[in-house]
Amino acid sequence: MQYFHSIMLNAGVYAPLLGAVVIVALWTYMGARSVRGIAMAAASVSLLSALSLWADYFLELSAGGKGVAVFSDYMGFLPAFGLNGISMPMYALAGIVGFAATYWAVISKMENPRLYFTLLLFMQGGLMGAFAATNVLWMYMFHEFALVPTFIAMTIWGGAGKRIAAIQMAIYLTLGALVSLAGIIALYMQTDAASFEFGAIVQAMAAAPLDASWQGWIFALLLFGLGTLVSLFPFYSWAPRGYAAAPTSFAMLHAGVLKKFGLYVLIQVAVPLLPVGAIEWGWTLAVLALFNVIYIGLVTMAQRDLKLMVSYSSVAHMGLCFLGIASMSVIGAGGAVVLMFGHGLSVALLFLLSNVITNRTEQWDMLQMGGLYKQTPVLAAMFVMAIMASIGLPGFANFWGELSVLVSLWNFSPAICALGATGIIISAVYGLRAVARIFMGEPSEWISKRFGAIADISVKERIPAIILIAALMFVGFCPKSVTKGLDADMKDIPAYSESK
Amino acid sequence: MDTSSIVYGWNEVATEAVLAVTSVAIVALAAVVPQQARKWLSVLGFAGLLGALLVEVFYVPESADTLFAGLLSKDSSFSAFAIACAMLSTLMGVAYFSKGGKNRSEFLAVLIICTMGMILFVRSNNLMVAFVAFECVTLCLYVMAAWAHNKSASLEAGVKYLVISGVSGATFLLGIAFVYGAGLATHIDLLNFANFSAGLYSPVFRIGMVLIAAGLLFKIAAVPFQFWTPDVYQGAPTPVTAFFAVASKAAGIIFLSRMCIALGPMGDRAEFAFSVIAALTILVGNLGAVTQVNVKRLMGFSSIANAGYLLVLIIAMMKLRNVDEFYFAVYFYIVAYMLATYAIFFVVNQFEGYDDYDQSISDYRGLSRKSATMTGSLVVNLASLAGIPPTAGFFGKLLILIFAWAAQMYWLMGIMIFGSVVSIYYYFAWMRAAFDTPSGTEKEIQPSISLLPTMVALSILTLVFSGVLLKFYAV
Repeated sequence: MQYFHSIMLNAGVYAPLLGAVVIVALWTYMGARSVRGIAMAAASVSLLSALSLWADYFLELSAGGKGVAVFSDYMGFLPAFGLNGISMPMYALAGIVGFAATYWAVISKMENPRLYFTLLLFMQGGLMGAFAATNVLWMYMFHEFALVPTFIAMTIWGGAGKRIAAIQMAIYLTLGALVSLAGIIALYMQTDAASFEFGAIVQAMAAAPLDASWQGWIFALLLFGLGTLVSLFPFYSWAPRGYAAAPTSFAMLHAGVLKKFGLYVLIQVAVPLLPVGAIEWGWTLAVLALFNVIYIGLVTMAQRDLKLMVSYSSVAHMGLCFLGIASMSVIGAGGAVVLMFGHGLSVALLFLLSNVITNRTEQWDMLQMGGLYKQTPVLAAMFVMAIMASIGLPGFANFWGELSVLVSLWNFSPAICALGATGIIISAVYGLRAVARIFMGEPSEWISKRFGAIADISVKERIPAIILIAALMFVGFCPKSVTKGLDADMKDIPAYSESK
Repeated sequence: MDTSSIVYGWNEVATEAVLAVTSVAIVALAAVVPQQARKWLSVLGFAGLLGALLVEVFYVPESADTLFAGLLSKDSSFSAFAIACAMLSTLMGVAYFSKGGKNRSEFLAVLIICTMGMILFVRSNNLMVAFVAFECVTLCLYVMAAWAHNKSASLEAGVKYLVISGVSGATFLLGIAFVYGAGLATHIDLLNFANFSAGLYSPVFRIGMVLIAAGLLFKIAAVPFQFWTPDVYQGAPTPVTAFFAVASKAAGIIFLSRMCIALGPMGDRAEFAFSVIAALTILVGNLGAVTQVNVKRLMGFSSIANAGYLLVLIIAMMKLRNVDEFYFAVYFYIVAYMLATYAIFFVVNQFEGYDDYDQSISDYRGLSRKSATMTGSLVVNLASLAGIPPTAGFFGKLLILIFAWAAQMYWLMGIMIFGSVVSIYYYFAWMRAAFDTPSGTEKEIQPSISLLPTMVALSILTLVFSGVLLKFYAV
């Protein structure tokens, strides 16, 4: 079994990277069909790896096993990979969204598909690796794999305002990445660890704990560095414009998966290792996160552009995840992981469906749409489901995440809990208003001219959407598939189990 | 000094001898070989460099630092590095001369002599020997900068470098005079590195050291002696620019760090001054590059910024005194820098016309449609200069940041991070140009098929070179 795990895990990370290398190596022989085939095959391997490891992990836990899924350390040269309760859902998320994004790219028409799929696969491999790596430096490096591909993809296939958005995104993300790199170096140097391996840092800290002031400083570096990557207020301004201008598949991967990386490292590395620092910065984080929830939520309400609306909403939702971390409890941080999982799927779905919609209306302004329901009942149903998931209604994964985060916040501070809960109302307002503007009412002047030509979402286009919805509903109805691992692992982390 | 007691270890300078003989042979052959056959002299030059590299790698020195009355040390890592740079410049020169550059054979001879001078400069244990080698290098670089002497840009570069290097040479020499004057004995040995500690507490000695350091800062293009860099980089022929950017800078850095090691405890006093210089160098380099549209000027500012990063490393070493780790880090960084810089100049050199002083970022628009290889190399190596994982440049910066943290130079780390973030703007703007829609006014590319493999090999090395680090550091 150990062998199986090890092979699957490495295959999931290296298949996309290998696919990219194959395309580059055989550049001149690659036709539009063969690159699509390679990309599809690589993404399928990643999906298969994610799903099989997830299933196996869950079964092992249910059977009373320890559940530390995998470890592979080939030749001491390739990075070590492993999954625990926190990284398992994230790894699964990367596999699922990666597959949906690649599938979407495969069925779309584009210029220069070779380059598109090279970049997409490179990014996908980095994402799988970022959540699978057990070495903090490798986590960071795999995350950075996405920087250049997104920049190039936005430059070539991006939408309106792509030039500014692309450079702004690259600069902000580098700033965030380098500040968090300073934090990672600080963690490694101050603990005098043998390597950047997470286990080695834990060992070193057990031997010689860090004093409180160092914990505070290092946590601040990690918090604000990673916070910039997750678009924590006030370092968020790159995100909405960037996502709105990015090509759909990249926006799905970026907003759905990559952005969760910062939160993931905070939950997996920063808070468990630096609990004193986390308590010290807890209130600051909570207040900034409330700005995300309320202020950005209100900004989202004011958007008329569909893609910008989705982008802003993804920034707003990060606030609740941060609040879950600030609460520093098993239920709060665990809830944040579930919410990250649910939000990753739902925002990818929203980006995908927005693209389907704007392909038909040739218009991003929601006020110029209206009444589409008559022509596109299936698309409307899917969009409503995506909005419901994003609001956090029962039946979808997001519900359990938001619920646990809010429950845990009550213990942290009832006032913050109450303010955080308004986020749900706000997201209901902009979500339902978007549904109403696009699908209900009378067709606008712009849209009525081409109303008859608008077709419903095609069968090909439905497949990625159905995959995402299925995953959302699976966790929505069977939250244990995620929470069991979270419970098992987080109980052993004093920062979560003891503080409150 | 009793000259009869000097041990002349001629075997120990075999590398330099091979280079000198090659250089002379090229000049001699150029006089008799007909014009059409002169391109084969490039092959001869390359073979000579390769031979020198083989001697350098496979010849194991026998004796320690007593060679030539202790004037030379057996520092071998830099020799291999300098020869590798010269080989790459020779290769780039093939394209340069095939596109119309003049006087191929003399160029090769000067380049090889310059390499030899650099090796001696870095190996020298004695300030006087260092000065002679320093001037030899400077003279060659000045001649090479002005190589396209029918172009005003190249002439301007040559004259600028002549004046600046004259000043820096004079400063260096004045420093030597002070150091000598501060000596308690009148013996020539006092100029040896090993005897520096004798003069540590003499103010005259310290003034001398400051002047010598100033001469070296000229060489590595650190603030406030950086003004010549963009102009000279722009005007010099591209193979020379690359040699300036990599070999000349690395020689200055390694020599400076050897002096800092020799100075021992006195290094601490220089720490603050060096920190300010490093910070300003990083800021001037990166902020200056933001407004550049000419790619060679941009590389000039980028090389200023990189000098700043390397200075941070030297300061950290002065505080930590971890010489072995320092040499690993500094060589890792300069090799990563060499791979990226040479690969980028190979791309620059693939445009039509041998004279590319006016090549601007907008000439790269639409490059991705013309040549995937060039675009790929450009992207990978710009990412390396910008410090994006998994390229070698990232690991170089990572090592410097780790050193800086260990030396508790937190504010310099902050400056480094700020500089790196700024650098994203101009490196990525260049990268972006390659994917933009062409407007039709771009310069045509004229790929030299024989050089593409080198460019690709450098790019692949940029990607996988970090494996070296993983082996050593077990990150």
